[in-house]
Amino acid sequence: MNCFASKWLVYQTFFQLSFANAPILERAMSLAMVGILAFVGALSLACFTKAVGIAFLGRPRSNAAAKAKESTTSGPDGLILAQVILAIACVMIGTSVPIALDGLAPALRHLTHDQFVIGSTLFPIPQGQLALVGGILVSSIYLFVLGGRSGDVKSYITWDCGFGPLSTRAEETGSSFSHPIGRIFSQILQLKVTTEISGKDRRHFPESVRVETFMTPILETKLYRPIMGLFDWLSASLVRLQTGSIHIHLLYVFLTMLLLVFLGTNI
Amino acid sequence: MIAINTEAILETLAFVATFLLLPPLLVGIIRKTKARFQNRIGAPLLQPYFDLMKLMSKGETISKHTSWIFRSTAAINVSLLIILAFLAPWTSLRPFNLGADLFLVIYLLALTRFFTVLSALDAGSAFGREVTLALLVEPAVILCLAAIGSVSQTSDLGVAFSFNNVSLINQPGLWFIAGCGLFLASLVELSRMPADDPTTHLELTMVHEAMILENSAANLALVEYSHFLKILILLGISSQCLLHAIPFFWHTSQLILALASILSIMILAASIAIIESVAVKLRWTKLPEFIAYSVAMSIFCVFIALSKNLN
Repeated sequence: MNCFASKWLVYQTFFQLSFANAPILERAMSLAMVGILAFVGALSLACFTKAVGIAFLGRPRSNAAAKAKESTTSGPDGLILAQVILAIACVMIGTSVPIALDGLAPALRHLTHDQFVIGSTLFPIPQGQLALVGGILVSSIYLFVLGGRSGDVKSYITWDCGFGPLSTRAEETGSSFSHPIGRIFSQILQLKVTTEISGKDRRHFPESVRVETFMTPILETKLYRPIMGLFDWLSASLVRLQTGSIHIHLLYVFLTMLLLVFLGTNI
Repeated sequence: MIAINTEAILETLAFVATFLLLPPLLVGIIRKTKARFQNRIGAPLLQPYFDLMKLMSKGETISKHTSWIFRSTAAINVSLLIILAFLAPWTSLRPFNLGADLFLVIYLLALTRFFTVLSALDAGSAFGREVTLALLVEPAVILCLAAIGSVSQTSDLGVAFSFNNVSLINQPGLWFIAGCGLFLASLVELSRMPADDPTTHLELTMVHEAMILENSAANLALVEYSHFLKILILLGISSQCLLHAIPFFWHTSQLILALASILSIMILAASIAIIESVAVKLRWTKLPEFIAYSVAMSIFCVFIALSKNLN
């Protein structure tokens, strides 16, 4: 909720700029930014769904994961408590955005040189009330429609397309979740899938099937990595100049002085 | 406080009745039209209501691998969409003006999708492709609505879509393109034909249907109902855009407007059925090309909005 508030403010800034008294280029850029932000927003939606869904939901994929617990050596209650406190803080800020913005108002006044910035009016959406109404609606629907009949709920295995019980390996994994996205953006993500089928009469009765997927993000490998490599190389070679030895340092001082004297006498 | 008078009560009742009762009828219209296109008589128009009632009285089966998230998702989604129905300008008759902020509407829609995907992952099933589609149409939806908002100089959709907003009165081009763009985007968002075949029973090609495979009985009824509500809201928004493009509706009475908005939603539902009858489901890799139409329209909207505010 607090994340939505900050995002809303960013959106609103660009949006307001699009009809402000500004040059056409700036206004066009602001609407373009709204579009890009929308795309990033949808990407982050996919990312959060993946993070929550793959990490916390579904079945454990191995025995070790099934028995996973909080570490006992570092005090499990403290670990959980810290997260709970953080979550409560998020909800608190999310439901009281105007108050939080009021706290930021002095900084805003200083930055914008506008004495009339009032923090609490910047964010008009009643998030707290909306959350409350939503909570009441959810719980009432849950109680009246679903809760009353929990007696005749049967539990059964997840639908298996008729193949017999699914093993945990058939579950959605992190990479299979992002696979469709990789497919669509295969131009920049360079998704490669290799399949090996082996065994006699391997088309219909394969003995083993091996599928591997590789995703090489082209921007990262072809653009960012060389740039990062360049900086790594630069810093590695520059460090030879200054190794921390006082003698070399004195030598530099001496050489610079010589150079200056030389320049001073000749020019 | 809201002043209590008979007219306001009647309006509220009509509004609530519309958004509670219309969604299944829309699906009935879609199915009936498709059946007629295939030379079948088809199920009666009211069949979705009967289906929902039947589901409510069935015994429920859930996967033993699920947690509380799975069972509460349906309730969460229905309530999110009910809130959206009160906020979003899907019909011209809105008894309450609660301030439908553009980005709030979009993010509430995104939240419903988040929970739908989570419930699918919760059952440990192997499906969850809908987010990718959302990823592609999100910019188009936001840009169309932002262009309209930018011309009317407000991000409150309730104000931008009301029929007394002077800055938008002579913009049939903007409204028409935005309406078409939103309609194409909602085809994808609702998992209708070019993106997904809602009647398929082949798991490999399912998108939306695959995610609700595990739901049954009352839970499935809620999921279905929330999907119907989503159809109503998204089609409603695009039909409102198209209505605004016709100058006649700017100078007519409230009653005609309300009837016209309901009728236009039904016409859009029928046109979905026609599209589904003549088009084929696109391959996954071809989808961006289809969505590009919607994005292109939204960019045109942006250009119109920019030139409108030039002087």
